[in-house]
Amino acid sequence: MKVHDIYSKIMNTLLYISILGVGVGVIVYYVNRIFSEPIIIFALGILTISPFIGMLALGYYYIRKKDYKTILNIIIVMIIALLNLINLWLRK
Amino acid sequence: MIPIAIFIVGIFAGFLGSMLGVGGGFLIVPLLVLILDIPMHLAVGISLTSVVMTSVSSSIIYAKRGLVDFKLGLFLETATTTGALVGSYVALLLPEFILEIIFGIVLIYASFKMILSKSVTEEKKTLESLSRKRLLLGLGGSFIAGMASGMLGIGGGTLKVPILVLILGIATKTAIATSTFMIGLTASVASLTYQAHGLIDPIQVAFIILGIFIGVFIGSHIAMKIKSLTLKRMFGVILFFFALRMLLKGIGVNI
Repeated sequence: MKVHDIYSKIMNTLLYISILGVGVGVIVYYVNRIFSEPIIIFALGILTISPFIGMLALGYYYIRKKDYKTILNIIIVMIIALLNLINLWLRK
Repeated sequence: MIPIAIFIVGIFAGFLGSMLGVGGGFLIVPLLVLILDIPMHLAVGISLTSVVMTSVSSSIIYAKRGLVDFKLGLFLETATTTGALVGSYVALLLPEFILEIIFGIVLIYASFKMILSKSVTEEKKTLESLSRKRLLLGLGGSFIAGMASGMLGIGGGTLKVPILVLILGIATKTAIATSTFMIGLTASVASLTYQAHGLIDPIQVAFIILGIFIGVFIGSHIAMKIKSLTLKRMFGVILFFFALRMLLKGIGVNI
């Protein structure tokens, strides 16, 4: 399996789960706004963390391929992204 | 009325974002604030989640066609994320208007280079085939692009595509596809912070997300069909207006 196939399959699954959640949330919104918000927030949460899951999938692929340079790049990006997250979290 | 208007903004942003490899934040925020009268902090929250949506859905479509260069994207992303982290601290030392003027001028130059570019056969370049000098320039450019996003709160696409095309000489369609993959991670970090602090309205975000889903589908399929040179020139025009707005903001004229 190619890297493009692994990435697109995993991200496609996450995208459709979040779109389904958002869609259901919007339909529920027209019935009861209070119930719709948690559904949408859950779906948005999945959508927002999906780039991180995509990175893990890429990491898994390159570990199997023993491409250590790319694995190192993924580790660096993930660590700095987490530092950025902490940085933004503390400033807000 | 407002949900339908947000949905239409989403279609427009998704269409343009996926076609040109940008997140569309520079387009979404002014439209939401100026036309729909949504408060700025909510508009930024909506915009950040929208950029994640544009990035995820476009990168899936481009990855299926083998256009995303993951290795190159990950290599440059190390410099971009570091730049963003450094930039958020440097921003405290440098006045914002100076940065806006500098980046405005640089981006106007880049936009002209893209608009005036001539039709040449684009070679398929990979991370391994690039010279060390070009890679270092690309890394430096990505670091500065990351700093700009950290300092000015702008997304990456408008800066990443010119770096990939003009500095590294990557084919326009590959550059756009790789850029859509790269912007997702940066935007998701900021979006998570906004969501965790309750700075988004889930209903408004839901409507824009559904709009983007449709816009991305149309935009990415059109991008496959039109010529690389046309895409490059279209990107140049959008970049010019973005850069001009930044430059004018720097000199105190808000549009």
